[in-house]
Amino acid sequence: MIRLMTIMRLALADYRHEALLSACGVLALAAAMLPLLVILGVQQGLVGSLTDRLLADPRNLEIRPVGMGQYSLEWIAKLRSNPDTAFILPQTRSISAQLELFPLEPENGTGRATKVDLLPSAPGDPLLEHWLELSNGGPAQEDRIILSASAARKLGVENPGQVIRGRVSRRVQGVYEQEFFPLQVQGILPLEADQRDAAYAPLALLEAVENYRDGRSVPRLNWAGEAVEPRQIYISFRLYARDLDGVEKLNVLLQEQGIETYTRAEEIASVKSLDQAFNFLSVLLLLVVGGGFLASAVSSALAQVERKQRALGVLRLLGFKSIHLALFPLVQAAVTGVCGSLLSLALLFCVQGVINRAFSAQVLPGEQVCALGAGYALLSIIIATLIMMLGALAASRKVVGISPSALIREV
Amino acid sequence: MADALVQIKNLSKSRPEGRGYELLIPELELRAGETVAILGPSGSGKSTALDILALILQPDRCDEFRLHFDNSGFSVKEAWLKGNIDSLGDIRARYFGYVLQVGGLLPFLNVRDNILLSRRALGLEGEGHLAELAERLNIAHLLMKRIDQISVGERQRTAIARALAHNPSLVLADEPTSALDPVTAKDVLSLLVSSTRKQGAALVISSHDWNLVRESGFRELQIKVQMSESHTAPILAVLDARVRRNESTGGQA
Repeated sequence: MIRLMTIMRLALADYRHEALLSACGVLALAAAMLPLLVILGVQQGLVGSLTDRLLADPRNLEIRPVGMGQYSLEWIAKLRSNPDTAFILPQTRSISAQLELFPLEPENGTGRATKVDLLPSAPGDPLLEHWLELSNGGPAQEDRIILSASAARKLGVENPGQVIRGRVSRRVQGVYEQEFFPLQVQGILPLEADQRDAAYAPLALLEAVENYRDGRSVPRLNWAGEAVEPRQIYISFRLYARDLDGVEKLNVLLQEQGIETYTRAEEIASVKSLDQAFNFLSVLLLLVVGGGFLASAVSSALAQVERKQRALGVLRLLGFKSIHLALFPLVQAAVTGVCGSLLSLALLFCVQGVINRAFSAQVLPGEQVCALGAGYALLSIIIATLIMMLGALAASRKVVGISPSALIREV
Repeated sequence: MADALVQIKNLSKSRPEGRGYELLIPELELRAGETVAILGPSGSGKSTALDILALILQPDRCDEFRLHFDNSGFSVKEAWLKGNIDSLGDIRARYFGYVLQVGGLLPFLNVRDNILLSRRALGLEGEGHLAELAERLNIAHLLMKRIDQISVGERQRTAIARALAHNPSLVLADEPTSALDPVTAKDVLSLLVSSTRKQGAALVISSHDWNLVRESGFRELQIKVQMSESHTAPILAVLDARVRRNESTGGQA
């Protein structure tokens, strides 16, 4: 261990002694790394901002089935357990998932019935969580709904907590029937969240409305009709993926099962293709710069050993083993790798500031065009150091073969 | 009579570089505590002989090459045949000290760290008898100086200190005074001899300065160079180890 520590100390002492040459190595590495880091920074910043924008709108994570199908509770439960699924709820027939809403006070709003689309929701609904910043997502109780901005305006509802009336009607054997029931508005979505006249309600309310329309009874709401069996099959669903990659995976999964879907895949694909283009560029640059620098590291390490072989010969003469001497160029290469990459990161920090200031008008507040994450910074240090040490391996092999005879007399 | 530290029989080494010659060592025995000088003109193979003794140059052939340190024997011949370079390095680190022609000091270390290198190569911590050694060699005031800040004579004294810092059994010195002026050369050689004797180590130096060696009381081993009659054959350099032993070291004729 003492010999190991001594060789490391000697390598560092020699590195310091030849400060100018060492600095040249560090600068060369930093200069080679900087363009690569800038590309990576732009990729992280630009693509990261675009991805954040996509993720910021939960509608981009939505996968909508086209048309109607037959979806069992089991099938829905299985899809819910998929790791790419963030939220899924079964949905009733769209034609029967409509409700007429009235203001409690006739003078409020237009005073007329407002027909809204009923959409199933529940705690954890990504759309409602995002726009309403609800900690528990959608409505949990059957008499609570969340209105779209348009529906709220027509009903004269300005604040959550207001109570309105719902009406559901049917014609049984030629006789017109209707039921009124109170609903409390739990929240109002902004216009950008949903432009339709819509109300988000617990699935139980949608089922009750559909059952009533079909002539069945809803005992808990005292709506008379034929007895109803517990529902097993739904014709649609609301599905949200956990992330952008999940949209594609779930989409493929559903299409494999013959379920046609609609997603915002094009927007996602355009960001992904930009990401892939940057990835390609980064890998290409990494190969070109890394390969070039590896060759340069090999030749530089060999030249260093050539210059220092007399001193290394003396160390061999004093009895240091091959393994100890092999460490000498490796330690110096590691120091160059760490210092060079740290310098390149410091330079990137400056360049990053210039780029972000220059493009500040083109991005949203808080977004950056160039921003290299801490993980990538750490990775760049590790990769650069490994490349340098890989290059120094050739020098280490040469050092192991050094014979002190004939060298030591020239020291 | 002291035990033999080194025993060599019928060793030869050809050096292809330059004109080409073959060094022959018919028989050589070095004993503990003796001081020996290998003498011969430039290019006669003194350094080759010293490198072979220092275990850094592999002989082409030899019947026997054994070392005896701490009551145990070690076959250098076997180690070379097995290519066990690191075991030779271990022996060198533990039992050998080496003084080079121009010091062989590392420019990126100060005097103190250069001296302590031989201890570190052996895996020893601490400074050992560095202070006493530096005092004896009159370099105590130079310990923190860089190598380029001291004179050539001071460098040689530093190299002697490095060769002795780990208490070796055998010190090899390759023309240790050749780069020094006559007065300094005498001082340095005297310090080298007295210091190795004080530590009980054997000393082997190579030199072409016959007078200086004789004044210092070395057992002399001469390299006799024989020109070959054939134009293509190498020059033969024979280390004649049959020279009378020095009285002061307790040797015998």
